[in-house]
Amino acid sequence: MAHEDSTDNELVRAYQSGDALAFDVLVLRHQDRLYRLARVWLVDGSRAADATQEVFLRAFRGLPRFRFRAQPFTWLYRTQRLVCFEMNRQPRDEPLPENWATSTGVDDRRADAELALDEVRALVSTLPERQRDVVLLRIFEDCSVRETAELMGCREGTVKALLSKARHKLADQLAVEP
Amino acid sequence: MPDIDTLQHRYRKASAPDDIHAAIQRELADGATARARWPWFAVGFSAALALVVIVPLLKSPPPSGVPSMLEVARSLPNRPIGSVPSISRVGMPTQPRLPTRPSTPPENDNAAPLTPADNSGTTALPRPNTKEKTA
Repeated sequence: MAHEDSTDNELVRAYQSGDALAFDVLVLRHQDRLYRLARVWLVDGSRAADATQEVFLRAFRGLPRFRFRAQPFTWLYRTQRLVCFEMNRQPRDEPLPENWATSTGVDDRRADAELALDEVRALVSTLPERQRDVVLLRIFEDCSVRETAELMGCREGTVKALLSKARHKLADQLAVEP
Repeated sequence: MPDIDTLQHRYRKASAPDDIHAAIQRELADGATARARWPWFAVGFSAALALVVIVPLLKSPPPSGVPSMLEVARSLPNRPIGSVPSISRVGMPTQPRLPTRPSTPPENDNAAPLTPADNSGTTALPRPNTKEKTA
């Protein structure tokens, strides 16, 4: 693909000048990350695919007016967060079964990954909101401190402090559980 | 609960379902089709409007012996544009305008005239003759 080595900013600029393929590359580059975050943020994890799809549709409509005040992924991340919170406010049709991720007919490898997402959600659900986001971004998504600070809209020192507190809580939690 | 490193490793293996990308492509294609289709809707709508409304209006003769707009247009083929009178005025019967108000004011001796100092625009009421009563 022609845009594989392009940065996100270059992709958005190409898309703004009418290159639809650039948007395609942007979707393929970030869809996994956004999907994983949605699976942890959403109460109803089965709607993570819908949330991710909604984010990219909003991006398709909104990125032509993007002004590069932040990184494109920051825009996608915050939109995903907003979409997930909107979805969490909506009532669910029916409760999910406990093992819905493994009972949907997906293969074992995929089922194990989905199970891991559920375990991460259970692990971070005890943390306050900002500590949970720091843990997700720094530990599980492997973002740098600077990148995490930009995504969360805070200073790097705040990220470090939040992460330190969260680590202590998680360590206590893992020590208590068998 | 497994330790964080193992969990981290398994977490990163999770990927979005394949149908997300396909669904986005499908939505975008539908949107593009709709956008490509709307000018044809506009052209079709304009043509239908012309057929249903404008053509019968041009063809129908006016009821009171006034020549239709088509007849007027045919009678003025070679005249320069500036000299052609407005089509809406051609053949219209000229009727005398009805007077909207009588030319002479009605005779009303009882109406009190406006006083020069009265700026409110209302007519001044005649003052009651109190002297006669007291006398």
